[in-house]
Amino acid sequence: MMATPPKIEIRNLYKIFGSNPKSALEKVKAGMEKEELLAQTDHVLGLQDISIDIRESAITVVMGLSGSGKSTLIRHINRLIEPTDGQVLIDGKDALLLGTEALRDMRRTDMSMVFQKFALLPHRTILDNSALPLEVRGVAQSARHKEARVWINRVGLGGYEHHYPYQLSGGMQQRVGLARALTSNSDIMLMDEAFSALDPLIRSDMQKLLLELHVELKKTIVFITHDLDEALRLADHLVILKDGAVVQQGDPQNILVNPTDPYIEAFVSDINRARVLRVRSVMTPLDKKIKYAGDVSPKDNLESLIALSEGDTSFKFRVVDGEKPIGQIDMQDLVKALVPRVSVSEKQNS
Amino acid sequence: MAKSNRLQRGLIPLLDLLQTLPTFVYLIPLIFLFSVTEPKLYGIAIIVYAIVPVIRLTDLGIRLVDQDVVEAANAFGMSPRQKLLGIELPLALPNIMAGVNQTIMMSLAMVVIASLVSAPGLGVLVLRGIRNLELGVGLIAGLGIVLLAVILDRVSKAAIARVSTNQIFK
Repeated sequence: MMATPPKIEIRNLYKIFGSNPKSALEKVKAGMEKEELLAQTDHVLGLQDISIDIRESAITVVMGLSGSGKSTLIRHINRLIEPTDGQVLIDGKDALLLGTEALRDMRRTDMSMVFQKFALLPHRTILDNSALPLEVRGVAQSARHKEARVWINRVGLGGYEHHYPYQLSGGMQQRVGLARALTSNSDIMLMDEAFSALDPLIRSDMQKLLLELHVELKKTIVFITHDLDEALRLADHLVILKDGAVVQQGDPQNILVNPTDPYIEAFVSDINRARVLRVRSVMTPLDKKIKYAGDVSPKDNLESLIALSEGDTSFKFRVVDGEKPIGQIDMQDLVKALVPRVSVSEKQNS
Repeated sequence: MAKSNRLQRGLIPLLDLLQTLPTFVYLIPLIFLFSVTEPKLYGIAIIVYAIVPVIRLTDLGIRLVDQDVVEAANAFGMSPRQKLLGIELPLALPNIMAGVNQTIMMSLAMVVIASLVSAPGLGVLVLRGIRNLELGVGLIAGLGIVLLAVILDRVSKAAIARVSTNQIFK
């Protein structure tokens, strides 16, 4: 895993909004805080010293509340927003050095984007909307329609090719957004709160569809969301943003078990840990002497294990990855893992 | 103009001037500077007077195109030309057509006035009616202009309705 270089590297990225961002940048680098900067110079600190490695064929989720800069961040990857300082490397090449033509080529062939508000062309049919990325590249109509039909069917909209976007529900419109991104056949997919405008049930369907597509196509996906459950469901790598800075990033399971910041503790205390935590995050090294009640996979979540043990905490299970035993899990440890860690300061208060 | 705020700032006063200038004033430079006598050149005066709404509404229409859609176009690497022809003009079409409708109406209003400086057409008959108190001639010519206006108005409005129902406006 470590051997392959990251698909996208973001290095020390800063974005400051205002009339003279360069002078404000120096103040920020000298240690000025966001509020102070706004009060003194009327500049808004959008992103502060962001460094993220985005691995190839993985889903990287950037999570943060509104105003945390996550949408600004994703727009730096395809340069819909220009950074004030820092680097964005795509396949090792600095995307910020590209000229107008080269940038346009990169947007056409290397990446596609799915938007929160769908952003379909209202005057075109679903078929023409989905074929847009190929049309932009100058592919002939019959070829691009053929390709678009494949993806329209894949996202479950077969038969709607000649409808217009306004005739479709929100969930279906976003499927078109997804089909459009897939038709471009680019390695990188940028998804800006793609499912945030959808109902919970439809959102869950779309997450399932995205995960299926990811297994099938192995695209590098950057997904922005404000919803922790969504983030944990999708993420291979989770980045948590707050006020334009990275608070914590890494394996989502690890963040859940070892939050490094009170802000993240507050975040993770609300979720259903049994459903999100997996056996591999709680298991302990194998002890040959004891007898196990059964075998489980490291990918099983704790909820399924509780069901398996029927609530009896005296059980121990052996963790088997494929054929190989890799550890054990004690039901008593499992119960302990379900209790959210409370920060030291809160303990002292109570 | 829709693309550049600076150009818009420069052009708006000029358009205001064109729209508020008394209509006779248009005819003065044409007569004295260019000594226009040919009928088709009166067309120029009428067009200059009536063109303003089309420019204004095209500008407005392109500026009103949903910025999310424009962002999507950028994200998929559309060139400025592809954006203009594929997205901005089609989406601004209802506004542009409303401008065309206004322009037609204003040029009809100009017809009678242009006839004062001997531009030919129905306007001449209206003028003859007023000058010689030939009520019938003036009335019929006047009604002719109104009829023409009504027909053109209906046709262009039908065109607007057609481009609109083709599109978003739910």
